[in-house]
Amino acid sequence: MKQTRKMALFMASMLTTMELLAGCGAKAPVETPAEAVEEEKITLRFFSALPDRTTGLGLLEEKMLNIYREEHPNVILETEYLQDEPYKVKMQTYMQSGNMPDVWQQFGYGALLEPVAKGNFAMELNPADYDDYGFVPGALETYTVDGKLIGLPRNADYEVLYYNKKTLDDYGIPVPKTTDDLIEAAKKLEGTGIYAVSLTGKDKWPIGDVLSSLVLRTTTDASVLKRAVTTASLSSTPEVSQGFDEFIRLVDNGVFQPSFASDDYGTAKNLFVQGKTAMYMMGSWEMGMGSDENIPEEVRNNIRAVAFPLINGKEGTDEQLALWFGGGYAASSSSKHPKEAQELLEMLVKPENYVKIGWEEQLVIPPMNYEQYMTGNETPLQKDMTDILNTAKDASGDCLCDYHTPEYKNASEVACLEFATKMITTEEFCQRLDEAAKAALK
Amino acid sequence: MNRIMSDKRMIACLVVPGLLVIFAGIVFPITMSVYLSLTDQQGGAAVEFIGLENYVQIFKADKTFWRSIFHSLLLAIGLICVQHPACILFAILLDKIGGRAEKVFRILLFIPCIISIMVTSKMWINILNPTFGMLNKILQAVGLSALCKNWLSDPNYVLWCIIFIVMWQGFGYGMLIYYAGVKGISSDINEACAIDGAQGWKKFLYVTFPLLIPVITVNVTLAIISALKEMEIIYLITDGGPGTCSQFVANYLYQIAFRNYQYGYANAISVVFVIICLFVTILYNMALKARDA
Repeated sequence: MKQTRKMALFMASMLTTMELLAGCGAKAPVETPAEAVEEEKITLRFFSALPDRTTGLGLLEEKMLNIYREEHPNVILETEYLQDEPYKVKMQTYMQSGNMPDVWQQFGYGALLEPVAKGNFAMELNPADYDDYGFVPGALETYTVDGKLIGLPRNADYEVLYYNKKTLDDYGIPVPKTTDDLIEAAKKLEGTGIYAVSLTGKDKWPIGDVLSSLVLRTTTDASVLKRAVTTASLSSTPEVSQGFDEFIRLVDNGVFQPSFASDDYGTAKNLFVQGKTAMYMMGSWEMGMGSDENIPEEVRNNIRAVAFPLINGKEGTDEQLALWFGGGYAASSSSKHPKEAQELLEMLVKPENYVKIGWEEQLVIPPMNYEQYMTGNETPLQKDMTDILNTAKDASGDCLCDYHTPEYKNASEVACLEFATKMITTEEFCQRLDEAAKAALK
Repeated sequence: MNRIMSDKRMIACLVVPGLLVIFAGIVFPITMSVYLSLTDQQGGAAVEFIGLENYVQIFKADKTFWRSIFHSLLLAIGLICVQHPACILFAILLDKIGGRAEKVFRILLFIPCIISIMVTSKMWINILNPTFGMLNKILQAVGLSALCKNWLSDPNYVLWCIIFIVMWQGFGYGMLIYYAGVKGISSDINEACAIDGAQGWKKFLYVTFPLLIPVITVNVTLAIISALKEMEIIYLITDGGPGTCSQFVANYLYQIAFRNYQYGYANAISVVFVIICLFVTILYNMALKARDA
């Protein structure tokens, strides 16, 4: 009996072994170790603040991810896209939990770069590896904190005045070169149902960008704003007050749409692309409007750009440009696949793909030299944007609200809207900014 | 079975999971929140214990916090003194209409509550927009251009606009609860009123209103709580601005935590906020008990 049981057990185990071997033989061919490694699937998490994947920078980012997917079939990309505000909140959650994505979009200004740098969340990169990327001076420096390069810039940002050529022509308005021209344009458009300039106030930071550009127009010293903000001395810097006063003059003369203080980014942009305003004060990242098929063709084909208006009687010229590198990418220092994460990070801004496609399809002003990628078939808008950039000899760096800490950023943005709605005077505004800067410097 | 159920280990096995859930879901977060409120935690940086410094800051220097509380109280007053009387009035009118019209109006009045706050907020932003909004266009069309305002960016009007929108959004819920209360009044009482000649205002004052008091008590408590924790509409429409003109505590708390990254301070605000909510609720319940006595 005992022997029969032993025999049955032996037979059963033999059968099982044979089945297993047969199964293995049929499903998995013998692999060399190299092939096995090559086919090993890994997953990278990618997080970005560009939820619109069909136009502008979002489209370009998607194209870069697709190239990466093609070149790395073994890598599965888990992507997550959120709008600006939820994106910032989610990033905080990731930082708090220490569960960072492998690669993410990183804003380049102090207030949002500092927490990432302080927490050592980003992978340190070797600047020498990017010598042949052709980054323009200042681009990599923006993403360098305490001597460590922790991200790669994606776009060169500068404030311009977009305008609808047809609207200006229809109403006999010359392309504005100065703030006085803007006021004249507003007067000519009065009662037509079209407003002069579209501006968003609800998001607050665009007001800070416009104020920064106006300060820059009062002087030939492009570093005046940076110096004043970083030393908490806005109240004692006359150029700053002059620039701020000029903004109020524009508000008082009805240059902006009546609802500018409560209009969000999308609403302000929509007013322009639907022909309800003749001009739009915004950064170079909106160059994609020229190729965005969601915008009516009549408007799209007539969008042009001109340098931010000068102020009559002030020293500032087109050679001083409010230029910064606000958008970029970073890779996680704690990624389980650091090599692949760095490859993805580099792929996102690799000039032969990123600059070439981005420029050809009118999607971005890259932070690299892009002359070699110019085709000669540039649209008028692209030519305008390039002219503005090429004319500049001196860059300002970050905008008014982008220095110091997140607390400073929030306080200065709130103060910007209070100032724009004339709840506080220029003097009080400067004091508020100084107080916030001093608190941040403590 | 009895032996099993009286076994202490068995009782512990049955109770512990529930206790763990309560501990993990309620006790631990509250304890953590109180602990963090005593620190200067700011994101990934090292955490330093700073004692009651955050609380001192709230009570001594944080004008925005107290302004937000004041706005919440204004909203609560608005809800109790304007929205709820209107809710009671419409509930009674609805009851009187009867028939198919009653159903139609009941649905119409409840619609704002079932539409996403995101959608209704965007709708109000568009209606109140001074560039292309419907309200200013109507005012212009009827010759009242002088009344046209920058509704959502004028410091003098923005808070009242927010209070109105919150009242509008919550109107259906309030009305529905009162409507249920009115419907719950026995038909015998209504018939007795008719026989005794008590109609209209008198009937409302001496019959309907006293019978609705339990419903009013519940609704007012809910109104106070919702006024104190109002957040979504403010965040979506004005984000508390311009400045702090339409700031409310929950939105302010969110900004401190997720924009300033001052988690320690945000936790201190939340602790004070909870204490204020408890205090107001206890005060209200005490007032009710005193009235009942």
